[in-house]
Amino acid sequence: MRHRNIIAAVVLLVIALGYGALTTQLPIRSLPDTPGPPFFPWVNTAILLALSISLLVQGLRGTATEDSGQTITPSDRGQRRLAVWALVAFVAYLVVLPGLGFLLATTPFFAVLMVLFGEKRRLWVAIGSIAVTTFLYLLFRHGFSVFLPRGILPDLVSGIFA
Amino acid sequence: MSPEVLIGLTQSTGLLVLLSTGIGVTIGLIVGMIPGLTISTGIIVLLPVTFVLPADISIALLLGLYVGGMTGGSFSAVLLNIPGTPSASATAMDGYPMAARGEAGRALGIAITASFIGGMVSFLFLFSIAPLLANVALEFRTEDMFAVVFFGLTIICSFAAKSLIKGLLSAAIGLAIVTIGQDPVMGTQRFTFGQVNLMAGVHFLTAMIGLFAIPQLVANLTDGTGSASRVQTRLTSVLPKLSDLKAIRRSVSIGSLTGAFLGILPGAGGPIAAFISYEYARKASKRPDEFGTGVVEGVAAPESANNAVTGGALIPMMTLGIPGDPVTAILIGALIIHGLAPGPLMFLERADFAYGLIFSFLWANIFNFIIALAALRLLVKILATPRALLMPTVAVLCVIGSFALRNNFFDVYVMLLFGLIGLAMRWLDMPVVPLLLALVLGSQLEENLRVALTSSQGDISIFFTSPISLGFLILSLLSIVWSLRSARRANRVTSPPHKETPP
Amino acid sequence: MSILRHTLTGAIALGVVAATTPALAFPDKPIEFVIPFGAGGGADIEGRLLAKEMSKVLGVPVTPVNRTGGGGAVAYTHTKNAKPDGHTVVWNSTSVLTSTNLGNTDFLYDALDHVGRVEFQPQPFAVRADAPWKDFGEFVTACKAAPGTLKVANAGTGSSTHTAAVMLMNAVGCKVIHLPKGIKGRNKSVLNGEANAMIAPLTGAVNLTKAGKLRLLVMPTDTRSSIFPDVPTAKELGYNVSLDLFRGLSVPPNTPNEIKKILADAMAKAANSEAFLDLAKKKGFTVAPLGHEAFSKLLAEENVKVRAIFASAGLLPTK
Repeated sequence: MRHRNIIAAVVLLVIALGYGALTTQLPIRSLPDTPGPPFFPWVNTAILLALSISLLVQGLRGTATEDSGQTITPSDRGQRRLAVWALVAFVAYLVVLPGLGFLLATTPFFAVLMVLFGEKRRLWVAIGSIAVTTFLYLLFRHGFSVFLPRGILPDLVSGIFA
Repeated sequence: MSPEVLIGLTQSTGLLVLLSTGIGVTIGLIVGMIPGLTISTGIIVLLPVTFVLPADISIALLLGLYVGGMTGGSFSAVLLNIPGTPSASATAMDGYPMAARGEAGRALGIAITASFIGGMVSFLFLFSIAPLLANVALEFRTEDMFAVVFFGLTIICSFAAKSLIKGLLSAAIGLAIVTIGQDPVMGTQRFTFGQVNLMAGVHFLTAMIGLFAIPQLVANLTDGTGSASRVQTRLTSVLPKLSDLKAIRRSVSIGSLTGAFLGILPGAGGPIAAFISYEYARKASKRPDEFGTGVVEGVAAPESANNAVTGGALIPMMTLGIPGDPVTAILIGALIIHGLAPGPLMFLERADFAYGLIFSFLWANIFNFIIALAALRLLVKILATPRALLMPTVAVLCVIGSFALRNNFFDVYVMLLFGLIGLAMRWLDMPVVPLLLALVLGSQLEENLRVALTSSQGDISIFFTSPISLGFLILSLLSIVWSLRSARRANRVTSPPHKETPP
Repeated sequence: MSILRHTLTGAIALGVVAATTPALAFPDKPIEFVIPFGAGGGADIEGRLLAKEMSKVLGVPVTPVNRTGGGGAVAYTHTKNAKPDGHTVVWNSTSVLTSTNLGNTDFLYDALDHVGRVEFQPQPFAVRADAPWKDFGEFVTACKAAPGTLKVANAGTGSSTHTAAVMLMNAVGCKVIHLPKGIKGRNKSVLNGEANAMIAPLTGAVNLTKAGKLRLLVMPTDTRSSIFPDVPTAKELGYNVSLDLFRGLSVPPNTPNEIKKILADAMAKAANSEAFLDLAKKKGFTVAPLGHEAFSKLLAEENVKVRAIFASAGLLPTK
C-alpha cells in the first residue's frame, strides 16, 4: 500500500499541476468584487495540491494508518488476465458499436463476456448472447424509444427490426 | 391533514404507481439477494427506463428497489453466508449460523419482519421531520447553503474512508471534474477545449455507472465465488412466531432508531448503521455472549437498521437536495430529469409530489413485507441464475444507460473512463462515494460560495456571522476531528468492512 | 470523438430518413423542440404548450427536449450544429442575445436563423410586500443614501433579468449588489430577506404578487401590464429604459426558406390557439407573434442595447 500511495500521490500531484495550468487559461471577467469563473478551480487546485502532498508525505514516511489487508486486487494471475480481457473487449465493443450498430456489435461482446464468466457450453453462449441482445434492443428501441445505434444490419435485413 | 398530503396520498395509490412500486420491490429483492449485484447496480440497470417514465412512476420504482434491496441482501447473507449487499454483512453473523442449524426460514422471517418495522419507523421520521425541515431550510441564505453542502461533503469523506486524506482526495477530484463544462454562475465554458460534448459537463449518473458497475463486474470476474450450488432452497416456516417477535422487541427498536438517525447523516449509510446497531443490540441484550451463534436478535437489529436508513436518507435528499448515498443521488438525478429539483422549495411548490414520494415510500415498505414473505421460496431460486448470463447483461445495460441519459454516445466513453478511474481507486483503497457525491454537490458548492462572496463583496466573514452557517462549519470540523480520532483507535472491533460498494 | 458521434447521428438519421422522398415533405418525422432552460420553469411550461399546439398543426410529434446550461448556450450551440432541415427548432428568448454576448458561445445571435417571435413579457422590479419602500422613488432614495449595500437578486450573471437590473440601476444612477441567485433561488432570497429586491420575468412573480407576498415597484417596459395596471413603467418615472423578455423560435443556419415559412405559420397558429392564449392570460405574458423580418429587426435593436449594458457592467468577454 505504501508504494501505491506514493504512485497515487505523484500522479495526483501532476494532475493538480495540470489542472492549475489550465486554470490560468480561463477567461477572467472584470466584474467588481465578484469571484469570477477561475475562482473555484483555483480553490480546487490548492486543495488537490495540499492533499496529494500530504499523501506523498504519508507514503514516504510510512505513516499511512490503514492496513492493506482488504485490497481487492486479484491475487491470481489468471483471474487478473480475465479482467484485462474483459476490459479490452469492452473498449473494442465501444469502438465498433456506433458503426456496426447495437445488434451486430453487442452479440459477440456478450458472447465473449459469457465465456469469460465461465460459460463453457458453446450452444448456450450462442443462444444466450443472441437472445439477450435482441431482447434488450427491442425493449429499449420500441418499448422505451431509446434510439440505440442501428448500424448496418437493418439495411441488410430490412423490415425485421425497423 | 392538509390538502397536499391527501393529494400526495391519492397520487401514490394510482394503479400504475402501485404497480411500479411492487415491480421495484421485486427487482430490489432480487438484486439485493444476488451477490455481486448491489442496490446501486440494480438502480443503474433501471436508469434508462426511468428517463422515459413519468416522474411519480419512476420514483415509485426506484424507492421500491431501494427498500427491497435492503431486505434482499439478507437472503443470501442467511442462506449462503455471502451478504447480497454490503448492508447485509452484519446479518450474516447470526443469520448464517441459524440457517446452518436448519432454521433458515425462521431467520429470514425475522429479517423480513425487522426490515418492515425499521422501514415503518423511518417512514414516520420522514413524514414528520421532512416538511418541518423544509420550512426551516427556506430561511437558509446563500452562505448557509454553502455550509450545509460543505458539511455534507466532509461528513461523507469522514465516513467513507479509513484514510481521511484519501476520502478528501476523492471528493477533491470530484470537485475538479465538476468544473468541466459551464460555470454555474455565468455559464462561462471551462476546460471544454472547444468540445461540444464537454460543454454540458460530465453528468454524475454517467460517472456513477462507470464508477460502480465496472469495478463490480471486474471484481465478480476475479473473485470466482458465487457459484450458487450451495443454496438451501428448502425453507421451514417463514412466518415469525410470537415468542420470536417478543424476543426481538428491544433489538428492533434499537436498530430502527439507530438506522433512521444515521440515515439522515450523509455518508453513513446501511453498512455502518447495521454494524453499529448490531453492537448496540448486543450490549443491550440479556445474553450478549450468544450473539454470533445464531440468535434472532442478531438478525433483527441490523436488518431493521439497514431498512430504517432508507427513510432517514430521504430526509436530507428531499429537504436540502443533499444525497447521503449513491441511491439517493440517483433519486435526485431522476427527479431533476423530470424537472423536480429536490430542496426546500419542493415542499412549497410541489407539496403534492413531495407527499406522493413519501407515501410511495410507505407502500414500498408494505409491499416489501408482503412480497418478501409470500414469494420468498420462489425468489431464492433465482440465486441459482447463472452469472455468465447476468453479468454480461449488466455490462450491456451500463452502455445503454449511459447512452440513453442524454442520447449521446460520447457519454458512453466517459462512462468507461470512469470505470477505469473506479478500478484505479479500488487498487488504491480510495473510496469512490465522496467522488460521486462531489459530482452531485460540486456545482451547488461553487455557486453558493461565489454568490455568498458576491453578496458580502468578498468579505469571508459572512460564513462566520450567520449562526446557521457557523453551526454547520463547526459540525464539519467536528466530523473531520472525529474521523481522525477514530482512525487512530487502532483496534476497531465494531468497524464495518471498508465500504466500496454501498449500501 | 466528434467523428464517432457524427457517424452515430448519421447512422440514426440514415435509418429514419430512408423513407424520405426528395420533394419537400416537411415535416416528415418528429421535430425536436429544444428548450434552453430546466423543466418546470417559465420557458419550459410555455414552450411545452406551444410545442403541443404546433404538433397539432403540423401533424407530427413536436418533442420538447430540455438542453440546459450556460444561460442557453448549450441549447443554441446544439441547434446551430443541427441539420438545417427544420426538424430541430429552439425555443429562444432574450438569452439568445445575453448568453452569446457573454461569450458562452463562440458565435453571436445572428449565427442562427430566426423563425419569429411568439410572446414577450415585462421584467418587473419586485420587493417583499412588507418592505419599507412603497414605490420605486423611495427605493432609489434609500439606495442613494447607502450606495453599494442594497441587494438585487437575478436569475444568473448575464441573464436577461440581470441585464434588466443593470440597465435600470444605470438609469437611476445608483450602485447595488447584484445577486445571481438562479431561477429557483431568486424568489426565495427575496422572501427570506437575503435580497432586498429582484428583477424577475412577470410570469415568475405573478403568483407571489397576487398572493400578497411581493410588491412590484416598476416595470422597465413600454406599456403597463394588463394584469397589474397600477405598476408604473420606467418611462413614466422618467427613466427612458426598457428590456422585455421575449420568446420565439430559431432554427439552424441555412434552413430553407420554405421550411421556415411552414414553421412560422404553425408557430403563429399555435400561439393563437385557445390553450396558449389561456396560459398567457393566467401567467401574464403577451402573445404577439412576429414574422422573420420583424423579429430580426427587433433582435438587432435589442442586441445593441444588451451589448451596451454588458459593456457598462464589464460583462463582455475580455479575450
